[in-house]
Amino acid sequence: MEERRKIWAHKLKNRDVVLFGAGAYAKQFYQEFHHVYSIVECVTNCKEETLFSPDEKTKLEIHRPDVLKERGNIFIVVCVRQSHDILEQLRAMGYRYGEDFLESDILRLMLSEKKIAVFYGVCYIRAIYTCLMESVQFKQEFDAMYWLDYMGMDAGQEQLFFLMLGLCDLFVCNAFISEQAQRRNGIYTERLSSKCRIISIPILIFNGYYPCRPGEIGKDNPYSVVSCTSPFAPFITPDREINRMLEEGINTKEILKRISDPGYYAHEFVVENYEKEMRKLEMAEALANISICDFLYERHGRERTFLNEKHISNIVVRELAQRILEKLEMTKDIPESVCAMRLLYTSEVPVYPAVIEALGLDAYRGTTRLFTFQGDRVLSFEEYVEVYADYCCSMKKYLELGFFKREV
Amino acid sequence: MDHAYLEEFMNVFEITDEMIAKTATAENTKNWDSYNHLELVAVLEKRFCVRFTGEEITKLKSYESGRNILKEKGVQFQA
Repeated sequence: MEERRKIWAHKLKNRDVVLFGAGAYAKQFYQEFHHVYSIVECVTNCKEETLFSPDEKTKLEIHRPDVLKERGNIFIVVCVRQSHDILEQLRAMGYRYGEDFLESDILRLMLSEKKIAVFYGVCYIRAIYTCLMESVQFKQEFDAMYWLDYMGMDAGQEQLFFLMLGLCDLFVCNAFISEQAQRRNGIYTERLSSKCRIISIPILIFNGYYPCRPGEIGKDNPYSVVSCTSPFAPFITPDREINRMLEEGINTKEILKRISDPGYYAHEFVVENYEKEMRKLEMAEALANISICDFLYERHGRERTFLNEKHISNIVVRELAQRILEKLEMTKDIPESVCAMRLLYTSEVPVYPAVIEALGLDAYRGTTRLFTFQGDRVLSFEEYVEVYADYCCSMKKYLELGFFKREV
Repeated sequence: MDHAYLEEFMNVFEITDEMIAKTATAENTKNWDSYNHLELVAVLEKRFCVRFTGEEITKLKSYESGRNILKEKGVQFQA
């Protein structure tokens, strides 16, 4: 801990610190560190901004990034929410990641007096991280950060990630089962120090409420297009039954009639499928450090435990975070209010009446919350099916016309 | 039981060629991810009325290793 702080404090010593960004992130960084380091100016790509006032007394000039060429021995702290483009910009200007510039949240971690926890994995690992940061005891002991595993890292980011692994005291990750994912996780875990504690969370893909064929599990909707500015999109989780019927040319009214039928799936099939899916979760948790199936069985039907086949609900996220605290012998003090936060950027997917009836899923009756960039929309089952079918038909047409390009 | 095992294996990984299935490994099979790995174990457990241990789940890394695990559990295969 002390060695890490020394290394990073040394990097900033005797250098002028320039903040890239002039918003809330920059203000926060300035307020925390201006008494320790020489923060001299701000740069942004935004032409309108001219003056940065992090407090009542201070006014720093804001310049365009091209002035950096004229500066001498500087360290640039990137103080923005979405840093990718700026990191690229700085690299193109000849600055070295981790040597000449770094994101403010990572630098804060490097300079922290607390232990470091690294959360690495799929999106619900980030949600668990968000929950744990609401725990008083956890926050007292750890500073933490989250790395998304499937977005890929460039060489600079990976270099820093490896460095952080060597320094961290707690590593929270998914317990992957496939050899490929295990090997990838292995590359990272072998870089952890011997004193680092690893806590693995089971893979929680669950098609018990959304029956599908083998091979279809976990695949995104082929008609959902993610914009270049966001990894999120409505309807990224497919409704394969509706997709199949749309491809057969069946109209929305008829689709709705068919899938609303309480006999759409045979009772025995739904129950067998649910049992198989729960068995898969049991196997997944047998390979992880944290178990959750007892909680899922206990809340089954009474509360929404899954938002869709790939995403657990907030109550499950909170429970996993509480169980991590228990493992760390800390007080399980995450407030229930976290369940009202947006922990996962995804939509609920409605469960068909046939499944609700067969499994007694009272919590899944009624409305569905659909994620949109203008806030959640609450839709009835009928409305959801209409909007979903309309979206997929339109996107299918536009994809065929080449108006959008799907990432491969 | 060879046919039943092959059928389940091909179904899970969406393989249409028997020869490809019989030489399939976690490394050379596109759809062999964590989800389909668990799916294969779950369908094999049901089909052959067996239970995999955690160790066996992680040892399952190819068509051949799956067949060997089932054999060890008393499932009869042709020599």
